[in-house]
Amino acid sequence: MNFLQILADIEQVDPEVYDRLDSRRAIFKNIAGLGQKLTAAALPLAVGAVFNKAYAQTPAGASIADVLNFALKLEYLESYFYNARTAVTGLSAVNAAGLALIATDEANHVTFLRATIVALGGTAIPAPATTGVFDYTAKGLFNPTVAVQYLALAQSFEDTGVRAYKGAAPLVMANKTVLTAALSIHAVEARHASHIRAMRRAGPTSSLPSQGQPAAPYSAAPKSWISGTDNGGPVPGITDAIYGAGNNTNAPANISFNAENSTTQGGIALSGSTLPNASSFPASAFSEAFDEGLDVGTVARIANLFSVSGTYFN
Amino acid sequence: MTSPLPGLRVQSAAPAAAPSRRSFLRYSGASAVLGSLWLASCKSSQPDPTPSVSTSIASFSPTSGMVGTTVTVKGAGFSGTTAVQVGTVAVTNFQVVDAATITFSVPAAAQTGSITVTSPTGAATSSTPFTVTATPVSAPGITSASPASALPGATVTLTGTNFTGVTALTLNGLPATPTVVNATTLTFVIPTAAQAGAADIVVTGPGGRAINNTVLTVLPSTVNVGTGDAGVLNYAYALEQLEAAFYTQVRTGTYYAGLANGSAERLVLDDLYYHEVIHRDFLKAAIQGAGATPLIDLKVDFTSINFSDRTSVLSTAKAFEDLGSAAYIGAGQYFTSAAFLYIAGKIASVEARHAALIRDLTSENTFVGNDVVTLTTASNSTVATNNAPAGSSLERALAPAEVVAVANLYLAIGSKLDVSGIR
Repeated sequence: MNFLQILADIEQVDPEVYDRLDSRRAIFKNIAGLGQKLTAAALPLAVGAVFNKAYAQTPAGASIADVLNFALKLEYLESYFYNARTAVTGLSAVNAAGLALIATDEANHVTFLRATIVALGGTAIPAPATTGVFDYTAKGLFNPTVAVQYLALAQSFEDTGVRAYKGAAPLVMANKTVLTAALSIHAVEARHASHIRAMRRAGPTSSLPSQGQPAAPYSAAPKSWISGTDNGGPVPGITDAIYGAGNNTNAPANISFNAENSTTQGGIALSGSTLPNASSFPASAFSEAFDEGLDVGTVARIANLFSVSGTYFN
Repeated sequence: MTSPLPGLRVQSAAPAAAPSRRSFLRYSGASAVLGSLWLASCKSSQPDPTPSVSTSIASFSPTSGMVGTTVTVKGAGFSGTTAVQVGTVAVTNFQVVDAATITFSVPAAAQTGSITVTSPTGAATSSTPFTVTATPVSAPGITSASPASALPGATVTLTGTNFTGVTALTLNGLPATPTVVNATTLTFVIPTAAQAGAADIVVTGPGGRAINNTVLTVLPSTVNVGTGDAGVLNYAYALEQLEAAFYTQVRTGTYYAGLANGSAERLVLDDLYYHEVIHRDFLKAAIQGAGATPLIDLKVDFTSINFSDRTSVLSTAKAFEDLGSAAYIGAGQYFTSAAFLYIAGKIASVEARHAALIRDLTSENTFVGNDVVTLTTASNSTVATNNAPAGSSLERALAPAEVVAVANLYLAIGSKLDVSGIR
């Protein structure tokens, strides 16, 4: 990668870029990790980091590093949660193995996000303490050592994570490398969500989670995809916000954070009459076919249910 | 003839100098008158024989020529000729000019051989053969093609002239095997590598070559998704077309038919079908709503899929869902509009949910297999940023070109995707 050529090329397009940033010499000082060993993965992020200040378009001045730090907090919430899976009773061996895979992924996501934030020239939040920061009982609402409740929490975290990454994607699109990484993690969270739902559908003791039968209204035996609002989620009355509408106050233009039962996409109202080939389709299919994003504020409000202080995610 | 009457002496006279068939017998003596009377009564029952000439050929001219040449045969005994041949080939219309002359034209199938004339006075064969020379062949000509536009791999019928004996045909310099139907018709298959546009056809026959670049247009084998945000949306639309067509066909196959109503797999395949059709038709409407032109309806090629076999159906479903998921991850960076990126993201996570379940149906707990979500080894996608490094648990992104390399295996020629505009 030829740094000087990249800088020269950008100067062609935007002659004032260097006025927005440090002087040329200072740029090299500020690329985090220069002089230390950079991984191949981090190198393009390091270059991208230089221009983050100039081109990031985030609400309330949040930088890309800030967005990733918020994602990192969610990953810690999940990672510590999956680390606690060993205390759960009533799981089949197949399901225990499935949770172990997810635990590995979340730990890896923590590591990856930390490295990415550093490569961008930001500071990653310190790792939260393993006790006293998160409360998976949500102040006594849940007993996370009981398999059914543990899985209800898992689905809540995964579905929230998918919505959070989806809402964040436009906030990081100025950096193509970060955007692609965010979309990658977003897809993995969706796979987790799909699998956790299958585990709930077939039951914690099943060895064939993929063969579970869904049962409307889908709170207890959900599909692998969100159908309407899944009747408020695994614990209606508590998990409703995960499947509800978000807050559009600071939403980017033409983006709205709708409830999961939305059947309007891109201004087009979907139904069997708008899409003639779908005239005989069950109504639920139209909301299932799309997942909705969520704004940072609503995600924080949901996640703070599991914060001892109630404000960790603010 | 013996003399029945005694007393007569028969003297045979010397035959006259002029050729005659009569032999005169002279009788002398008393019985002469009686003998004359007897001879007079001893008349033959046959008519007087006329002088007869055997059939013979003296000469013919010309001694060589091509089919259709007029030949004059001179000889004798030609009156009443019933047949004329050149070698073994019969001449259907010959003209007996007189007893010594026959004319005819060399028949179409004639080959070098002696001339035979058959008449009531016998058959005669010339002592030397008549040499049939080759008719010079004219160069072929091309008049039209049907159809006038066609895809590589299609069969085209050329109409023209002098195609008999044509041995070679090229299209834009690429060889194609001509099948000659008759002198005015031949067929050939457009080579699969043929480029789109006016076809430069060269037909080579014994008489020469025909060259034409106006009768046939080769249609493009690929469809270009376009550029910019509309190009990315059309790319997504193309992939959803492929998936929708796949699940539509799954539901007409015997594997699906054999699944019990309400069974987990049947419900899953139904939902996947609904979702992909909705994705497909939504994206088409969204592209139109954005003022852009949606791609044509793509023609799929599912000949490699066995819709009556669970393994074939599920492994193809897995391939398509994983492909779609990786495509959305890799395509996000090409959007300039946050709104379009966000909409694509809404579909992307549903594809990932699909992929996870299909994988688990195939083999439990493979929802994040190392071939798509890198736990241990780095993603082998050629996307330059090594988007899913080892130990990252990121799902691999695939660049548009990498995606269509797979997708095009399931799209017919004429519907294969060209994504070179997405960058």
